[in-house]
Amino acid sequence: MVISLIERFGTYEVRDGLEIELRDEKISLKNVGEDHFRYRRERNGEIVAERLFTNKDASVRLALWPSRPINTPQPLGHHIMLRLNPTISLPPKSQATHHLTMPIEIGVFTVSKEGNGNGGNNYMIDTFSLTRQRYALYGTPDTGYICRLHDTVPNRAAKPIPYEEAAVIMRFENPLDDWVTITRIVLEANMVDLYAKEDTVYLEDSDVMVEDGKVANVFLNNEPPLPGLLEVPMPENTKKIRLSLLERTGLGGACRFTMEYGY
Amino acid sequence: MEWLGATIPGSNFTVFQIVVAVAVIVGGILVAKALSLSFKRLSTPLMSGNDSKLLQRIIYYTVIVIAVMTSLSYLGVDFTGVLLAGGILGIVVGFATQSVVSNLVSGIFLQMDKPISIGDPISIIDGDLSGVILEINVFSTTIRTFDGVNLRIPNEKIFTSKIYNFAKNTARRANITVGIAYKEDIAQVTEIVKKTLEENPLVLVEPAPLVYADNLGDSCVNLSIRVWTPSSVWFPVRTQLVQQVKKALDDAGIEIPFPQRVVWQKKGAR
Repeated sequence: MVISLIERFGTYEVRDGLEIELRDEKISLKNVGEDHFRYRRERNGEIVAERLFTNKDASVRLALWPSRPINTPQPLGHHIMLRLNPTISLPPKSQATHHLTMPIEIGVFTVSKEGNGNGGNNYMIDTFSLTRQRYALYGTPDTGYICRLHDTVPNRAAKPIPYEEAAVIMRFENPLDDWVTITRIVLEANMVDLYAKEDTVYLEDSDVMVEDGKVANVFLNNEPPLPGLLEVPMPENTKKIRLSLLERTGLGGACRFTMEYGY
Repeated sequence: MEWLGATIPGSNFTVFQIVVAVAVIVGGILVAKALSLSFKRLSTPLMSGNDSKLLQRIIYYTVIVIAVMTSLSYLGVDFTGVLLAGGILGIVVGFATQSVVSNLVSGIFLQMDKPISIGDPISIIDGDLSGVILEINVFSTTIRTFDGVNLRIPNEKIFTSKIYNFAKNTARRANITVGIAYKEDIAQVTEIVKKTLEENPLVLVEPAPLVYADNLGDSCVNLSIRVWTPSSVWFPVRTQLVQQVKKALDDAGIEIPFPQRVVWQKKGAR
């Protein structure tokens, strides 16, 4: 199946002179002899990334897909922290659904034509972010996690900024006899599965379950949050990591991250 | 079965005694092999192949020597003299190999305690030696110093010294002090510095950076800047920040004074 998201996200035939523009970023392909191609990304006219690759027998496509926000400006950790502003207070024994946003990066992939999309061989050759990256520590300096930080406003409807954010439709459950206030959500990025419709990106179906006054579990349920969404392909190494994490959780298709340092 | 009790011609031993003695030795060899293999399996994740082989051999031959001595003792061989000589030899060897044994024991404790791992950037011996751990063996540890020299250090030295492990924690704090002229507005400078820190994506937002006037120095007001960064990028971030803060203050026209002294000349003095 050929994954074809519209606008900028999607797959492109590798050809001389291909140009894709995304705000200040300009991606171009140039044939530099026989079946060798030069990939180049410029920001405001300055070259920021360059790669050479071979497209033997026209067997490769170039793809632009949203990716997990853990690669820029350099890989530092594999967690994402969504800081809620305003915070969400949940009454005792209650459930609520809120629409949030999370950051995304844009991954540039070379894809083997034989197996396109998630069944194929996707190799990330470049990644970039259209937003300013910020990081925070969740937990203590010795055992905590370095997280990509994102401030989000809980809403009744998803309002992500295209190419910068993904929509998060999250169910919150408080089974306790007391009120609780959720100030942040932490996700394990390697567990994150993204879906898209046109150029709007969504996080997979997700829940936050409060366990006690300090600990909450974040569940990623490995299914689209809405009908009619396409699963965004992921790099090969992420697929492997995700698979091993899924096996380890023992929750079937769902992934869980336990927020042990407070919510 | 009467033949078992028969005495072997030309000796005082019965066939039974010889069979038992041989069985003890064969059993000893089997036990030695089993122990050596078990040790191999247990030690694989803990030590290098060479160290493991050496200790396997020591275990193997020790068990065999014990089996042979038990067997000979059963046949009536008197080991009193041998044990006495062995005891004296043991004391001599013990003194001679004191440091070797000390390194071996320290190596075992390093493996168990795990204050360092391969690839960790560390500083030991009160900061006199810094580098990245390349190998941890039973007797010694190899470090590649930050100027690219490989150094083999006896384990005892590492185990008994203070170890600063820069990779053990996820995040580390960087401290920078910057002096500003007395005429400058501290609140304004603090704002400029905070804004500069915000622009660096590798400065952690939580725990929040701290910028404050720390003390009134001889020539300037010293501002203290404390930021947390991921441990893996601590050094580049710290060096970047010094440059970025200097540039931001220069751009804002904030004076960073050099040490100065006002000399008053007494009226009429020559």
